[in-house]
Amino acid sequence: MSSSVAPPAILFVGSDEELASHAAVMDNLGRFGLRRSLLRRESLKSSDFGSELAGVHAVVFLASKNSERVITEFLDLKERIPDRPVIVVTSRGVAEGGVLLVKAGAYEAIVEPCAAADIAKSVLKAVQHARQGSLNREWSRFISSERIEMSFKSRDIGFCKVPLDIADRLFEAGLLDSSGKLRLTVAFQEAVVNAHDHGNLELDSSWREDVDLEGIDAFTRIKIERLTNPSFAEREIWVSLTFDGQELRITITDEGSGCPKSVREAPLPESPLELSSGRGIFLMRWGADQVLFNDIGNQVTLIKRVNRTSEQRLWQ
Amino acid sequence: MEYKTETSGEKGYILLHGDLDSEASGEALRRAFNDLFEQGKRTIVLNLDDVRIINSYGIGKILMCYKRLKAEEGVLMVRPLQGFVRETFELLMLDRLLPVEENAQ
Repeated sequence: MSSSVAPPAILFVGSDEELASHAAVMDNLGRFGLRRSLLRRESLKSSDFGSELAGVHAVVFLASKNSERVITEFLDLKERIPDRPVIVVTSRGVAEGGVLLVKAGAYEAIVEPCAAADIAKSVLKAVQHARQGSLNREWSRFISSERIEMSFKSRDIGFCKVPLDIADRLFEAGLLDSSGKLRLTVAFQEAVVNAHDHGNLELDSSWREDVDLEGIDAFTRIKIERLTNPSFAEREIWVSLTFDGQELRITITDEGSGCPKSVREAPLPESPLELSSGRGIFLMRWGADQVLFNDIGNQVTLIKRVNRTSEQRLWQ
Repeated sequence: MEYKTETSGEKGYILLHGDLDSEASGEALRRAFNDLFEQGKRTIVLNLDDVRIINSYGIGKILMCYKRLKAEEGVLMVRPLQGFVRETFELLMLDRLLPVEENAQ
C-alpha cells in the first residue's frame, strides 16, 4: 500500500503568442528540482483546445480569453482527472479568469509574467498537500480497525507530518488524558522519523552541527538530496498497529542497518546540548509505556497501556 | 505553521502558531529567526503559547537558534511556557537553557 500521488496538471490560459512562450517555461521546469516522475509525459488532449501539445508533461494549453469558455474547459479537465490538483497559469488579460477558476476548484492561479520557479514551487506545494491528504485518509481507517498494517516509501513521507488518529480516538474514549495523547502522538512521530531519517535515509545527527550562513544544516541539505535519490527514497517503512481494548502496540520497521545499541540505551545526559542525537528515543520512552527494539535496531515496538488500573512505565 | 515576527527595542519576538513537529514547521521557525537575526537582533524571544505539540524537529531548530545567538553573544529566551510544550522542555532540560521573559512584551 503506497501513498504516492499523481502530479498536478498545469493549465495555461492565454493567446496563441503567449502560449508559445510557455513551451520554453515547461522545458525549464526540470531545472527547479522537480523530479522526473512529476514531469512524466502524458497527453491531456482536447480537440477544442487552441494549442495542443500532445505528449507534453501533464500540461494543457487553452487559447481563449473568454472566461466562460475557460471555466467550461477547466471543469471538463477536472472531470477527467478528478484526483489531481490543477494549477492555472493565466496571462494578465485573464487574471479574473484565474480567480474564478480557483473558486471553481483550481489549486492555485498564477498570473503572468511568472518564472518557471514560481510554477515549480506551486507544483511541489500541490504534491505535498496531496500526499498529506492521502496519508491522512489512510490513517483515518484506524477509527474502525483493530489491527492495521501499512507501508509507505520514504519519498512519500519526506517532509509530511505523520498523524496518529488512534491517539485522538483513545482520548475521546477517555482512555488517555490530553498529555498522554500528545505524548503518544510524539512517541509515534519520533519512531517514524527515526525509521525514515536515520534508518532509510541513513542521515547522521552530527550533520545538524554543520550549519551554513542561512541556518540550513547539512542534515537537511543531504535529506533533500536523498529524497530525490531512488536508492534511498524507494525504501519502505512498515507500520503495524494492534489494539485489544487495553494495550496498543505499534511496530515500525525500516530498511536501514539499525540503531546502535549505545544510542538506544544511552542515559539522559546532564545538558540538553549533549543530546545531539537520541532525543527521539527519549520522547518515545516518555510517550509509551514500553519501547522494544529488535536485535538489529531497525524495528521498534511502542506499547501503550490504557487500562488506568495497571498503568506502569517500563523501560526497556 | 504560521509565524509572525515583531521587534521592540533591542529584542525580537517570534510568535508561532501551530505544531512544531515537522521539517516544514522547523523551516518556518528558521525563516522567522533569520528575519530577526539579519536585522541585527541578538536577543530573541520565542512565544510558544499557540504551539500545541513539539517534537525533536522543533527542539532541534530551537537549539540551532540558541547556538547561532550564543556564537554572537546573544540570547534566546522564551515566553512563559505551558502545557505540553512546558512538559517537553522540562523532560529535555531546555528549561535550564533558555531564560523566561516574564514581563509583558
